[in-house]
Amino acid sequence: MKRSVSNLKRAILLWRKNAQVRLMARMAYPGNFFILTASVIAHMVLNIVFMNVIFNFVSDFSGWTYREALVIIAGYMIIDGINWALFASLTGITRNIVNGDMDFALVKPIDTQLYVSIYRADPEDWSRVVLGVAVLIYAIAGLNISGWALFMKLLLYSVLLLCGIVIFYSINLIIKSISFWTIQGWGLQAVTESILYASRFPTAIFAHKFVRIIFYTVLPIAFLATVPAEFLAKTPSPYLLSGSLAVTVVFFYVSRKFFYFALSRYASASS
Amino acid sequence: MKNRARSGFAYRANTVTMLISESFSFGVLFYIWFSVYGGGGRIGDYTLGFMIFYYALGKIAGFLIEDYGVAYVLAEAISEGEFTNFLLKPVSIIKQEFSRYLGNFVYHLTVFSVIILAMLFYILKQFGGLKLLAFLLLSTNSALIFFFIFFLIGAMAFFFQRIQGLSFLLSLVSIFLAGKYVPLDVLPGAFYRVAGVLPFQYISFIPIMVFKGALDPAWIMRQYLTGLIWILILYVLTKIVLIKGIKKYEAIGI
Repeated sequence: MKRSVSNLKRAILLWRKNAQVRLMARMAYPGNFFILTASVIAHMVLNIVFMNVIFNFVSDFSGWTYREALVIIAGYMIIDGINWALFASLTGITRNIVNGDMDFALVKPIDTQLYVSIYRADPEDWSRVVLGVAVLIYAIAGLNISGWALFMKLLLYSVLLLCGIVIFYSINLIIKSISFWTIQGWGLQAVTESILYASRFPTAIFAHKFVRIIFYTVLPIAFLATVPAEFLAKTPSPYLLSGSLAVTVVFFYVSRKFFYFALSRYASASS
Repeated sequence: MKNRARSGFAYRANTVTMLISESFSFGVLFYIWFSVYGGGGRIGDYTLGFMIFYYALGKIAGFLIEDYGVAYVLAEAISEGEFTNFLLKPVSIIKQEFSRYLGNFVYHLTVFSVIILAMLFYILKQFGGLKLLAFLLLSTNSALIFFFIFFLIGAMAFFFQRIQGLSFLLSLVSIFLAGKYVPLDVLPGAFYRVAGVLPFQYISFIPIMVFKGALDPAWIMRQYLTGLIWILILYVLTKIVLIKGIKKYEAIGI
């Protein structure tokens, strides 16, 4: 237990140092940093514009009202923001393989998965999280929930969103690990982005049962933003809560195993 | 041109992953619109079939035309000082970059030939040869307008030390105003009016509009000529930016 706490402290310290270096690098060109932040916000706003276009023509989107759908979008924004702000979407894996720097990562006295995960942190992406929280507050204001009910729902929402973050991290790790075979794997980023993109919409839009089963099991995007939103805005089956926790544990375990399996296939670039 | 095409074949795994991600995104779009229309909704005067066709054609044409590397390669060359190599060659930078752009076009044309042929066959059967010809005519403008807009975005690196943010922002604006997110005519009035006076709509929205409604040769001719005027304006702007940028350009130690 003591060792785990010490490892966690070390990981947080390392991430903080990396984030500081990254922030200093970004602030070396302050104009670029602020425009980058503006563009990240614009990217998120376009998601809301898209949803607005849909709700300009319909009032019910697969059983979701506008405010309820905004809860899903807010969840997506927070997951996307954390994914970039903490892990730079795991681009560290591809980058280290292409540059031949994975050798250096391997000799560091730290867990390799942890090292490549927190290798880079993009400070401008905290704006996605801030905007996500703002959208969430706006959405909740129109949901007619208050008092203890709101507190309990928010608590559940936070736990499930945390599960969503871990699930997406795990999916991303599995996909990025494919870089050990393909080497030049920038195309894999588009795959993870398209998966996260799909999580912006209620899982109920996938009309075919077969597709929905896939999105709850093999590729569990339902647990990223839809399930947390359901617990906040609707009254879903309690099984979804245990389902979300189980999927989180299974995916994290499998992704870690797969990463180390892929790493064992790594052919060093320099020796 | 050959080099770009060869490089694409060398890293074909990226093409496969791109195809997977694009197909996945398209599948999601299909379900979104299926859900909207299935619930009794209707987006503007778009039928469900035409809405799906709009995105499918936009994606396929995008494979060929939209090479975002145009901005990235040029900006990197300027920022890292490799632009000097462009200057030393006895060919204009615009021609060099356009050849690379064509190489990308040829590579994607080859790789996605089966999908492109299937789409051409569908268009011929569904809309007829005349509309297809009009679409191809307007698409040549699309390619040139896209190339010059993104060349200009890349050339911003002459004036700003880091253009990563600006490039991302302008790319987003271009994609949105080109009608890639949603058809421009279903956007609120103000957005549509702004998009209507800018060149971005010629990248994707205008060519696809050929298939909406009856064939209108006068509209097609007007759009084609307006597109040509935009190409001329963008070309002149590119020349001016290049002249001013090269004067400002510094590469130390080369």
